[in-house]
Amino acid sequence: MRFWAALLAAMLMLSIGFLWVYSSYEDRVGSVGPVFLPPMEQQGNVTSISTVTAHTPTSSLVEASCNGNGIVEVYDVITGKLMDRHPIYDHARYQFLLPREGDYLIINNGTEKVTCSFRFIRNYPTEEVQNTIYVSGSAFALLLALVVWRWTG
Amino acid sequence: MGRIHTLFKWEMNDLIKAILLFLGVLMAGMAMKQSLMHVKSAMSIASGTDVVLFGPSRSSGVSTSILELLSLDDVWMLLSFLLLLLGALTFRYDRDSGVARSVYSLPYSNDEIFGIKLLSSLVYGFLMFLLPFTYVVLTTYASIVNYLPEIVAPFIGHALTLTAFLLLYLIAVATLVSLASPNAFLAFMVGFAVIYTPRILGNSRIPPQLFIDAIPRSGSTNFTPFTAQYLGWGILVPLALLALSWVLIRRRDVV
Repeated sequence: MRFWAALLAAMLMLSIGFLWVYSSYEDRVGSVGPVFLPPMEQQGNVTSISTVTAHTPTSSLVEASCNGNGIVEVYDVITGKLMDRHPIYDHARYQFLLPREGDYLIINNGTEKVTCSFRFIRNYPTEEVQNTIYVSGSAFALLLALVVWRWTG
Repeated sequence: MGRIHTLFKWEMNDLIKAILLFLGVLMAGMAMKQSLMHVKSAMSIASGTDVVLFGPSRSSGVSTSILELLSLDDVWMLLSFLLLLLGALTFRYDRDSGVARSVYSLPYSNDEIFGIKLLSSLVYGFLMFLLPFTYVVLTTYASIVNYLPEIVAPFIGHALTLTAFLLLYLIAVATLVSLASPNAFLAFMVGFAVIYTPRILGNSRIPPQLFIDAIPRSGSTNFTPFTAQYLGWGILVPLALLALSWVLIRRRDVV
């Protein structure tokens, strides 16, 4: 009984702790770069691409600041879906949204060089993450209540 | 079977050990979660005739983050600390407080008591690490949970094997020092010296550093945990230590 109570109480506290971790992480600004993005090179049938892989633990609002000439593209690594595409002439500062946690691939699909830096200014857990924490936390709480209710020592 | 079960229930439901489990799971989980909360990036150049950039197996950020969770210095220091306490509480504290005099006079053989105590500390030790790890991974990556099996497939087997070796080593050390020493505090201090000294000396060929360094390498080509070095420190040494503990508990009187 004490074993199960301790285990469930720890998991319940952990799920509450995760909510606290996310709320304190919201406004913490993370940054990637400055990164140098040369254009894609094609020699015969050999392609070489310089890539930057960014990993974010939450969904994020990203502010990009770029210098140079080119087209900066952001892809979701897992599905290969295009998330954002922005042509740069001389200088640009713009924002885009990364919809979920995971890896994103940043490349330059233009013909000239670009230097970019990315600031992750808002970071929120996705709905799936929130639901998982709420549902598992509630389950731990219910089971803990059951253990306490049927306490046999 | 009923009497063994009763003994097992006693061992599992000790109040101080339950508090230790609570704190261990909570602190290990929070430390793992905090270590994930930052943005990171990696630059690389992909070249070839047929460049593959996308797919679950290419998401290196997620896989390195998960591998880092398994080899956090913070978590392993905390866990070795708690596992030594657990060993001292399981094998030594009952003798210090006098409870052992009644327990060992019950119709249980010393072998049975040793086996049950060892089983309970193994359950506690493995739960304290694997439960928070699983929970942190599943909640942090809940939106991409369908892709997780494919992402972790190349390394998780080897990484978890190394983790199991390390936990086994820590528990075996905790068991032996607790049974050999005349006092719970002494057991704890000697055990911590044994675990911590290789770290101070910078010797990374002895656990725990041996395994902590090896975990991030799992998944890379031509690395396997099934070499003499890892099997020796992860299976043979723990077994030898446990065998010695077994001899001690059979030979020594309960004092």
